[in-house]
Amino acid sequence: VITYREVYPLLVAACPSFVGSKPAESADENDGEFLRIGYLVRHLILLLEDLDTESFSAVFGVVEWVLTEGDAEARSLINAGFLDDLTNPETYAHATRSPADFVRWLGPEACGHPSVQRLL
Amino acid sequence: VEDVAFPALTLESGDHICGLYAGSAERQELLAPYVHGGLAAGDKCVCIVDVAHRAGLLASVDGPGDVDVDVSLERGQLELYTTAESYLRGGSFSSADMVEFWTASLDFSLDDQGYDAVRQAGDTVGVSAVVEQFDDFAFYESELNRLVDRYPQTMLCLYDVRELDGGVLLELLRTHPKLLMGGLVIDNPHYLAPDDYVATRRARAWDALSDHERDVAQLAAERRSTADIAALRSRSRHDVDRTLHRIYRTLGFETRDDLVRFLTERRPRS
Repeated sequence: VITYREVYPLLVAACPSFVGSKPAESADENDGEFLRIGYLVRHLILLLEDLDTESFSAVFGVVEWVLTEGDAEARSLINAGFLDDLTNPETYAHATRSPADFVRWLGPEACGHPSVQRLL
Repeated sequence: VEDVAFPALTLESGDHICGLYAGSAERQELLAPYVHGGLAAGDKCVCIVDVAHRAGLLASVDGPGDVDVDVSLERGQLELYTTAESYLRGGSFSSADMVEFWTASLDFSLDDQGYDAVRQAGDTVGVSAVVEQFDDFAFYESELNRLVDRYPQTMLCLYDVRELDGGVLLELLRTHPKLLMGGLVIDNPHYLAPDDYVATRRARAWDALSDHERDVAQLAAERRSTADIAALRSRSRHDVDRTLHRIYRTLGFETRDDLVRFLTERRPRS
């Protein structure tokens, strides 16, 4: 079972370019997992803007893995944190991409999320 | 040429006007003179108006003052977009995407086509049914005020009052510096400039938070870690993290510095 505290390190391991990126540097050292994952989502949007999607299969693989094998808090972090931010149009301010552009990388568990459903 | 069909609208560059109507006949009374005046003056006109309402509009605009809508459409002086091609072009409404839509349209009209001025109009009939929260739409209306100041343009936003509740109407008054009423463009005393509008929204959102949420926000503004806050308030770390995430989204913060700044500015000065 994947726990709440394991989710963020797993996602960062799947997307090493996040470390040292501009969104990562916006994080406060006292921020918790939900906010840190929000910065990771912003980084993914920037990667998509640059068509640098090499890490996306691994990142969204972790998302599916947590949704399948995570405990309740871990799944909540993905659903109410990662996927809510990914599908929130306000996260895309100043970007030319939209939430629908990520749909092709989402697995079946993520596609069951209500705000993803609206994009399908 | 004397325009006998429509009384002239007095417009100034940078006008962002709210036009309220009830039914398609009234919409046409507001939109047709605006589009006709723009075409007759040689301006570019860009309108969001759904297919079902186009024929009536074009028939009204065509003819008087030597305006030929077929020619205007053919040479790109008049462009028409549907809701699906504009407000919902990304699958759902996004204020940032919609501002980008108008920005790209203005750059094309002014830089590529070489027009000196642009008249834009957006009919919103049916939009309330597909925009889940008017909040983001109101934010878009407010942000348009930054855009209209940067370009030689006017913007007319049309709303069917029969689709609006009191709360939405209030947001329209706060986000449009001018109103179109009875064929006259008048100043709106209830208008708030974009920065003031954002500040007002945040203050209202803060007041709407629960005591627990405000307490967590205050502790976070003291630069405490979520683990510290969780221990202090006998909550799980997950609960505190999620609460802070919800607060950031509700109040539009991106970083903890935004939260600290907001609460510092709210603090009464001694």
